[in-house]
Amino acid sequence: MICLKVAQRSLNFGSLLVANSFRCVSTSPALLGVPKNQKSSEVKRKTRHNVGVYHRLLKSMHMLVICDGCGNLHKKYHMCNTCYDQTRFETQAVRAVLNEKGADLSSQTVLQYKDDIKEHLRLGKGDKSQVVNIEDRKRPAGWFNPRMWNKL
Amino acid sequence: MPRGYAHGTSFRKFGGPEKRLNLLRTLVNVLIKHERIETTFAKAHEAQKYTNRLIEIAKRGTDDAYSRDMIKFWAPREEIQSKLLNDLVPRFKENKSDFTRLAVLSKQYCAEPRQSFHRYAVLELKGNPLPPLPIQEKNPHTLQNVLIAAAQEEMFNKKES
Repeated sequence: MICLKVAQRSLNFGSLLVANSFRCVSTSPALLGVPKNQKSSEVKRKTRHNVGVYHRLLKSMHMLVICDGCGNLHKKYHMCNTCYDQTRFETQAVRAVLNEKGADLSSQTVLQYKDDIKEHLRLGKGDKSQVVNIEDRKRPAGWFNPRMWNKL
Repeated sequence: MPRGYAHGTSFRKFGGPEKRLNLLRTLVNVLIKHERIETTFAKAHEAQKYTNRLIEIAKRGTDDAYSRDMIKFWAPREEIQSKLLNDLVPRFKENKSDFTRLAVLSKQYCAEPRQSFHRYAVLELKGNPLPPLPIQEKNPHTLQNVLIAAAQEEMFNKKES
């Protein structure tokens, strides 16, 4: 006799019971686990909402790292959002100016901000250089390392 | 139809060979025009490989029939062909293989709701005039990297001799 903790499905015909006893316990369909009573609403609520240590809803944010430029947190190996927002804003401004002219980006474009000195800009020799004037604000500093501009 | 990468390498399927090639061709052309694009990581990773190869082929020149055919297929429009041959080839004279830069973004910048669960990325050509991305690349002038580079040269020279 094999005693199982969970209820077993019982068959009405005695001949089938005899045949089942020769089969392996783990594979016979008559000896699978089955709930004995209906789960009440209180029990269901507990399994879903009772937050414990290993709850499925509690997932911690790993790999958070401090940005060197601005000091905010971001995921490791991802880009800092506040820093990228600044670059995105500036690129969209540049592209708006170019769309007005009807020109395209090329390696001869040079961005000129409010208080830039023309000699310090890398203007190409001759008339090939395409200057994009942004007169609203100065050249952004801070987390824009000046060594990163015009860098391969 | 072209089968894909060579033996041993893997590539993403993107819904079939025809769709895949059209998708990659549009991405490459758009990159060459705008020099910085935001897409899913998978598309950017694949497009990076194709742009690097295209620029490598353009550097050879249009004397080859092979390079002419490739440039005709991958950059059919004349604006992009002229930009490739007149603008990008002299820019990348000294670089051998690295012409692009890939960086991972957060999912806030994804506008399409269908792609909002994929990783999002930025692809850009190096040496572009736009304001720079906030990335710290490896510094070749630190002590460790100088020593590693010297050790690699020794290994390379030993193999030759």
